[in-house]
Amino acid sequence: MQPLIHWFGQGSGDPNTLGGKGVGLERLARLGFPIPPGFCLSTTAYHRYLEVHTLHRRITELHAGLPDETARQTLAGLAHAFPFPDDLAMALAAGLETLAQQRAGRSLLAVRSSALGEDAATTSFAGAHETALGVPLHDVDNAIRRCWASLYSARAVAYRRRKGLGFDNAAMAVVVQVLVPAEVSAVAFTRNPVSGQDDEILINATWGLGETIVSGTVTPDTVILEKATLRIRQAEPGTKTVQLVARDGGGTATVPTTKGGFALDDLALTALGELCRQVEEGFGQPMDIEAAFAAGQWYLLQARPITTKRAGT
Amino acid sequence: MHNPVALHPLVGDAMRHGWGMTGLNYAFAHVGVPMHMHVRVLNGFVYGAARIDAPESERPRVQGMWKEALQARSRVNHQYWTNEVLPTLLETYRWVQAVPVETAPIREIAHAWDEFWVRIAHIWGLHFIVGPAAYRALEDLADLYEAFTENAHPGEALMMVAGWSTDLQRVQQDLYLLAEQARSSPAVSELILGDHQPALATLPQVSGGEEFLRALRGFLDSHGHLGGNLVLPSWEDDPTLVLIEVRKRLQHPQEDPGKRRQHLRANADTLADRVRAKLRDRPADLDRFEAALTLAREVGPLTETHNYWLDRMLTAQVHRFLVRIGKRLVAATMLDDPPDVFYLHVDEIKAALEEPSNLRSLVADRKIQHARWTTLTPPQYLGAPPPPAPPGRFNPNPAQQTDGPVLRGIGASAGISRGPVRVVLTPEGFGRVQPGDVLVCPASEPSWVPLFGIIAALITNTGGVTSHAAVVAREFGVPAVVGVRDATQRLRDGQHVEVDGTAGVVRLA
Repeated sequence: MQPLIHWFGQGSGDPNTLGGKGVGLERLARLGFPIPPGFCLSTTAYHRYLEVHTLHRRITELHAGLPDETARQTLAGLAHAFPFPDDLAMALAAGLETLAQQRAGRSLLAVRSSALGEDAATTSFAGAHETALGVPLHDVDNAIRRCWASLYSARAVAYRRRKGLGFDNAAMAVVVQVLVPAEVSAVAFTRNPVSGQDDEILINATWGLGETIVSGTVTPDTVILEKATLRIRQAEPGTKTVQLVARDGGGTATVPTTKGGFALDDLALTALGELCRQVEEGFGQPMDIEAAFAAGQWYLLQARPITTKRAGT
Repeated sequence: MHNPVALHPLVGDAMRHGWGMTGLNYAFAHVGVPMHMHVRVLNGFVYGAARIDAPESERPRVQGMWKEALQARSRVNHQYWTNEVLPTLLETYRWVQAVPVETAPIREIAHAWDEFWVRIAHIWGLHFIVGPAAYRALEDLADLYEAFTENAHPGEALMMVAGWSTDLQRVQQDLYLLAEQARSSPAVSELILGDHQPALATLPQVSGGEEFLRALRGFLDSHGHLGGNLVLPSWEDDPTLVLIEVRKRLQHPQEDPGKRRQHLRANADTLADRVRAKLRDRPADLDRFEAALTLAREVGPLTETHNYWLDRMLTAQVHRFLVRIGKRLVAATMLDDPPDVFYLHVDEIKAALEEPSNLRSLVADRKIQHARWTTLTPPQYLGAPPPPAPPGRFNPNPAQQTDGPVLRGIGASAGISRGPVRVVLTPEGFGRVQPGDVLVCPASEPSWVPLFGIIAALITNTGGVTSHAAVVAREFGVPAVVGVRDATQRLRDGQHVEVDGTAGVVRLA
C-alpha cells in the first residue's frame, strides 16, 4: 500500500496521491524553495477511511443523485460520521509528533485541502475546498474531516458541473503544515493575469494572513514588477482596513489594521520578485504563487499554474 | 446616512457631539429657527435626521426661515469669521495643546476631558453658522445669475467667484513650489520617483536633500494639519504622505497655480461683464447683481477657509489630543497601544481617568466588533425613506450622471458585457439572480461561484485581481470589475450597465 503520509521534500512522492496543492508543494520543496515544515495526508489515507467503513459503493450511488442538495449533504457528512482507521490514526499521531519537534515554538497549524485534479492547468478549483488556519493540535482530526467533506461543498459541486467534470475519481488529500504567522501575505502571478503580459509579475499584498486576498475580503495593494529587472512599473495601494491573524488559543480573527501605506517594502518586494522568477523557471510555465512574510523571511505556501489563456486567444 | 464607512466608537461619539446634537443644534438655536438635528450611531454608521419642531405641514415655512436666517448671517459672515470664529479657534488649539496630559495627576485630566468636549462642541456650533452662511451667499448669487441668464449650466454662476479663495490656493501654491524644488534636484527627484514608498531617512544622503527637507519642514509648519482624519495621521504625523503628493506632481507637471488663478479670475470677470452688459438698462437689477457678486466674492471663499482652519485643523488637533490621552492610558497600564483609545466611548474614558481600570478586554471585544461592522453594507437610511431632495448645486443627484463611467475599480477579468444589475448581499439572495444578470456583491468570495455559470458579469466592493473569485471569473470568461468600494450602494436592481473588465470601469448602458 502507498504511504498514508508524505513528508515534503523527503523521498519520492507519487503525484497521483498528493492532490494539486500537495504536488505543487512537493515540487517547491524539491527545487529548494522555503516552505513551512509539514506533510501531506495522501489520497491513499482518504481511500483507506472509505474502505474500512465500506463507503465506496454508497458514495458512487450518491454521486448519481448530485446536484440534489440532500445527496450533496449526505456525501459531505460521510467524512464526519466514522472513526479513523487505526493505521491512519497512528500514522497521523506520529506525523504530528515529528512536526511538533520542527515547529520551533509555533503551536498552530494550517490544514488545507488538496484535491486530485485541482491546480491543474485548466481547473484551479480556486476557493472551492476547505482551508483551516490556526488549527491547534487537538483539532487536527476535525480539520482533516472538514477538508474531506469539502470535496462535496456547494461551490465544488457547482464548479465541477460547470467544467463538465464528474466525481468519478474524486479524492481528497490534506496538507498539514506549521502555520506561518504572516505579518504580510502576498499572491503573485508571474504573468499579468488580466492583460496576459508575459514580461510582468503582478503582486497583491496585504497585512496578516493571505486568506483576505484570496477570499476578496480586502482590496490589496497591487504592485507590478518588470520581470527582467524587478523594477516597479506600477504601484497602487489597496483598501486594507482589516487583516486576518491567528489567535493564540487557536483559530483566526479578523481585526482592523492600524498601519497605512504599502504592506511590502522594497526589500521584501525584490526578494519576492526574485523567488517568483525562480519558481516560474523551475516549473517551466507561468505560475500563481501564494507567499507569507514573517520575521524577515519569505515562505511559499502554494504554487499552481495560471489557468487562463493569454488575453486575446 | 452620513459616512459610508463604519466609524470607531470614539469617532462616532465625536460625530454625534459635533455634527448633530450640539453643532447644528447650536446653529439652529442661535439663529432662531425651530429645527433640530437628531443623530444615531448604529454599528459605527452615522445617521442624521433634520426634524422641524412644528407640524409637518409647516416644513416649507420653517425651511424658509432657515434660508432667511442664513441670508442675514451671510451679510456679516466676514466680520463674524475674523472677529469671533478664527480667534476662538486659535485660542482653543492653544488650550488643547497646553493640557498637561503627560504630567498632571490622572484624575485632573478627567476635568480637562470634560472641558475639551465642551470646547469642541462649541466650535462645531460656530462651524454650522459660518459654513452654511457662506454657501448661502454663493447660492444667492447663482439664483440671481440663473434668473438673468438663459440656458445657464449648473455651476456656471460659481465660476464668477473662482480664484477668490485664499487658504486652499495657498496649499496648492506651496505644494507646487515644493515639487518644483524637488524637480530642480535630479537626485531628490529620482529618490522620490524611484521608491514606491519614499523614505525620508535617505533624503539627507543625496545632493539637494537637505535643502528639500528644509522646504518640506516649512510646508509642514503651515499645512501639516491636512491629510488625515480623527483616526489616521496627518501630514505632520506622516510626512511620507506629502512626498507621495510631490511624486504625483513630478510625474504629471501641473500648471503654476498662481497662473491658473489669474486665468480663473480673468474668466470670472468676463462672465460678470456679460451679465453687466445684459443689465445695462436695468439699474435696480444691476445693483442687486453687483451686491450679490461682491458678497459672494467676500464671503464665498469662507467655505474653503473655514474648512482649512476649522474642519481640517480641528481634526488634526483632536487626533493628536486623543492619541496623547491614549499614551497616558498606556502609561497607566490601562491600554496596550495608544490608538486603542479610539475603541472606547467618551464616558468610558472619563470613568477610567477618574477610576483607573483595565480596559484591555473591552478594547479587544470592540476591535472584533468593529472589524465585523466594516464588512457590513449598511442601509442608506433607517425608517421611512427621506423625501427626495431636489438636486442642489453642491449635492448633485448621482442618478443624473448618465455620461461616462459610473464606477471605477480594478479590471479583474477581461471582456465587456452588458446586463441588468442584481445586488446580492448574502447567499440568501442567490435565488433572485437570473441568467444574464450582472452580479453586484460586497466581496469577491468563492461563495458566489455557483452563480458564475449564469451571470453576464461580476462587480464587487472589495477584492483584488488575485482573489479566488477573480481567478474563477477569468476561467469562466466572465468579465469582472472588483474593488469598486461602494458598488452595492450605488447600483440598484434592474439598472442596465456595461461592465468593462479590461479597463476596470462600469458604465450605465
